[in-house]
Amino acid sequence: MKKFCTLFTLVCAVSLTLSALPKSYAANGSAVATVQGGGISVAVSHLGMSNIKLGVNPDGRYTTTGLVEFTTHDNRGTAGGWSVSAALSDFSQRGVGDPTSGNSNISVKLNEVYTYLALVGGDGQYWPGGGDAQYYLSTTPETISVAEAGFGMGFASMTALQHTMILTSTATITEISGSGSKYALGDVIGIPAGIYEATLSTNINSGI
Amino acid sequence: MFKKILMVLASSLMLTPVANAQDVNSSVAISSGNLEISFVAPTFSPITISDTSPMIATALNQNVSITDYTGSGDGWSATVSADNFTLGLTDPTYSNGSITVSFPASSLKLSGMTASPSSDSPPVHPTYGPASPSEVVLSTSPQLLSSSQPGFGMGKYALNVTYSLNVPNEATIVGMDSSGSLYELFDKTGLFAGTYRSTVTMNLMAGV
Repeated sequence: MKKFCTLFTLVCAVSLTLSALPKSYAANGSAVATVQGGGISVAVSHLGMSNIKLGVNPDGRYTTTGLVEFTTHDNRGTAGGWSVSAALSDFSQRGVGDPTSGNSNISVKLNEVYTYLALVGGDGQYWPGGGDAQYYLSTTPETISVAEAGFGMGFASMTALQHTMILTSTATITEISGSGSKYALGDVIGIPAGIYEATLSTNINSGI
Repeated sequence: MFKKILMVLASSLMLTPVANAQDVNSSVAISSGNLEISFVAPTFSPITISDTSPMIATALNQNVSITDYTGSGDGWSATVSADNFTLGLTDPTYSNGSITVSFPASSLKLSGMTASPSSDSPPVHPTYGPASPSEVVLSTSPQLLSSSQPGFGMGKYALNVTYSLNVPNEATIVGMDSSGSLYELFDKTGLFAGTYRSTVTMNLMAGV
């Protein structure tokens, strides 16, 4: 019995000694990162359109094409979705020399112009109808791209073919400056040669 | 018999010189103290979502305190690990559900670790430590933060740490609680706004 007690005491002593030596220690804490929402925007860049030469097409119809690149930036961090709309103004030319008077200039706009956009590249998931869809442009904004809620976050790029058809060789006078012109506003005339410009406007709206 | 003992004792007293000094053994027991690590988890400056990737958040430099009062001279090694940063929010594609999004722990980096002894601790040895790698990119697995070879690092040291967080511009869905979502588990999304948290764990072990 005495021998057992001695042995027991020794074992206890060793155990106490071992437990008194710490071997590891852990600590933890919560790292905190606050991410704030940024803005939402759309940008468009036009990569130019091919020239039209009058008189080449005997039926008086002309076509021209160009590439348009849309980029959207949704940095709100909400995944609220968005829609992009586009509108195209009339193709017009200003400061054209008035052939009926040496003292005046005219502004004209092309008649019967039809323009549509067709997806040719970029991330097609945001385009309703997929890559085959075409969007006719007019002076009234039309939705050309949609990101459903939960999608379209960050940066997205879309490239479209802008296909413009001019179905007649006529233009309408929209402005007359100077004196002595034989034209009146609204007169329809043959297309004066020159550079015609239209403004492609885009807008991005939150949600869809 | 008794008489004989008295005689020996008396004889002994007569032969002993007068004592004017005495040796006394003094002992003190030093027991093991703490092996301990403590730190303050970083709170990062807010970042705003932008097209820049990664977006860099910073935190004030913080000290990690390492204490080896075990008195064993075993040396020690400190490791650090972190959970992925997570954020819980309402599912933008299904308002009755919620999702958890995450970006990886590897976005968090520790650098500039230099150990300084407290006033009553041994100096840092240029070879045997305490020493740290130049930087530590965190992960869910423990990475070496600092170590001291056996016989060194016995005391209390402050480890200066610079935290930097490179927030990516995308997140991963790691949790969802409904079947009505348009998302699937592990889908990639843009970065959601909100407060992300990660549990940082530091562990100090005896030995190297």
